[in-house]
Amino acid sequence: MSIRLLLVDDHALVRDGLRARLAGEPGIEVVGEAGDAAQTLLAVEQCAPTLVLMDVGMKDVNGIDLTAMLLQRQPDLAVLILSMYDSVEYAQRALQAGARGYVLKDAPSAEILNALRTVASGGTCLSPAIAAKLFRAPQPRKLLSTREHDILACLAQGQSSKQMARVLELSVRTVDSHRQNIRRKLELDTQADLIKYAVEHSARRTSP
Amino acid sequence: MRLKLKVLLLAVVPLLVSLAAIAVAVQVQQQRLAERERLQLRTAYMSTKEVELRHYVALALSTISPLYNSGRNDDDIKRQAMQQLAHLDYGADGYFFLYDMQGTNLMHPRQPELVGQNLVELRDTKGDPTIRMLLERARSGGGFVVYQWRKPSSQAVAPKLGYVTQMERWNWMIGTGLYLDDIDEAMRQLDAELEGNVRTTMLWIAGVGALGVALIFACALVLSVSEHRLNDAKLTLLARKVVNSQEEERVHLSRELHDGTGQTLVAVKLQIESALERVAAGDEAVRLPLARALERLKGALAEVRGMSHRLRPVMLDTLGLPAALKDLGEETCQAAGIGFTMDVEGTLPALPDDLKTVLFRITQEALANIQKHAGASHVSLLLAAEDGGLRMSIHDDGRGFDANLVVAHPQRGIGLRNMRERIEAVGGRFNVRSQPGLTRITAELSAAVLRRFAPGRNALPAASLS
Repeated sequence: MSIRLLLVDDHALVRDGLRARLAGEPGIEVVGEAGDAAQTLLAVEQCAPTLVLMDVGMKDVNGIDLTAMLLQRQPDLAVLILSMYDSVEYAQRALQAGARGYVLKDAPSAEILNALRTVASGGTCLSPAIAAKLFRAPQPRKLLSTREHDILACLAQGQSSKQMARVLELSVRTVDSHRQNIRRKLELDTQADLIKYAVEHSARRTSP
Repeated sequence: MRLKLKVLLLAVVPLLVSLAAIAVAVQVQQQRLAERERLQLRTAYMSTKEVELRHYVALALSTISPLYNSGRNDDDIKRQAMQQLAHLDYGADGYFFLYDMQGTNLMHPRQPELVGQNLVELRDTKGDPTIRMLLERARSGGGFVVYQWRKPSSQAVAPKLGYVTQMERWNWMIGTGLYLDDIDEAMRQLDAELEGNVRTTMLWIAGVGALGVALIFACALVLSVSEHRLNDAKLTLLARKVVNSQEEERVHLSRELHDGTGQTLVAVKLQIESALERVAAGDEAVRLPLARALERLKGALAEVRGMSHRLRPVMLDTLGLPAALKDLGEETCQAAGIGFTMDVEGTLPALPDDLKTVLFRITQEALANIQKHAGASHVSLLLAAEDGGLRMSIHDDGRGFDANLVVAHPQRGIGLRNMRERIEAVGGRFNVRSQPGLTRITAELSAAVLRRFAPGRNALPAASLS
């Protein structure tokens, strides 16, 4: 079954470029074009596409929100985001909104075609540049919250809970509960272990 | 400033000049008045004294008139008359004296040593021939002479008003006199009183002058303070406008690059790619330049995207502040090999573009500082909703700095000052705390500030998505 494709982009030039590039591709039929949210909703009704190639940055409703809107109406519709933004944030939001793939506009068109076919056949696809960022090794200290990091930094300075409370403008009770939480998260049994950890991981050790 | 000085001079100088003129006029008037009063007093005093003296002499004459009119001219009767006169006195300084018409003293109850001496050539302390003047006056029918004489009660020489008349038949001159030093005392009192009045008036004028000048300066001060305040407000507004227009320009340029140029490049890239698809596999003469063009295009696209991002990330408008800050933090810190975490506490209020931009720029500046100076291993960013407002704090565990010293430092302080000025320009608060191992920069926007920046008021044009 051939792919019935709807192009959504507020730049006519880009739509033309895509049409030109896809013209000779077997199994892909561009059934419609839309430049904004209203046109998109209408085109989905009229042209019955199986796949929507969606831009992100658009004048009225952005592509991510529009994706969510479309999928609310037709949950089985496949949406592939074609974006200028190479930021992980966008990719994450797009995937949260229900898009099945995220490719960059400046990627080689072979990559775009590949993504189109993958998504149409039920898979998911990310631009390698995005995927590399998205699956970057998680930060080892991500475990702790901002407050807990501050507490840890103060502990490394040898400060008491009272001093920390003053510096961080918190109550001593809050500081103590943060210390508890750090110990729980880092699986440190005693206060001594906690201080040892703080000193070992303090920045001053590494800074000149 | 010069104009202000002129206005001040225009107010102060005429005031002082007119007060000085009033003072001079008062002084002159008072002096004239004093002279007149003095003259009046003297005239009145003298005339009462004259009447008094006339009466005394008449009294003396009538006392000895039984002897004088007895028809006898012998020495015995004269001695009797002299004795009567010698005993006739009125107070310590009131006595009668007798001379013959040649100037020989015949009787002086207070200075008996003078009796028998011819005093025609006697001159008083002022050099006037006293007795000669008295004799002349007596010869011309009697009258008053002012001269200097020793006052018996005080033994000091004092001015004296003498009245003499001739007793022709006995060749006598009888006289008496009143000392005038008490009038001098009265005059001195009068003068002192007048002088006191003048001094009081002068003090009043000086007081009024000082009050006037003080009032003028107070008014000038109030005016200049309010002017300063106005100028400050204007300056803040101007600074905000400059920042705003700069940001507007950036937003505009960023969009232009991203949407206009970027999308055109994408379209051209797609066209070239489709052309490449259609070129026969062996036709290297066409394929090669097209492939090269494609490479250059990709480079151009990356450049355009980078420029747009550096000018102002579109993400700020599309995904909001937290996403943009997270992206910024991760990108900057990853490049510098620093750990980055970000937390959001509470439900953040919706932020108008102005404020989003301010917080974003502060974060940019702070991260740049940390990267350059801190030697930190971890940076954390906290966005917290607080009482309807928003607090953003950026913490690092670097070596820290002395906040006061750095602010005072002309170059290193610029970053901090920029941050502070940005947030204060929109009415927010800025705070820096630093110690080795923990540096914290806090920017706060109160609920009031957020309300003031509610959409439609002072905001940048609503950002459109593209």
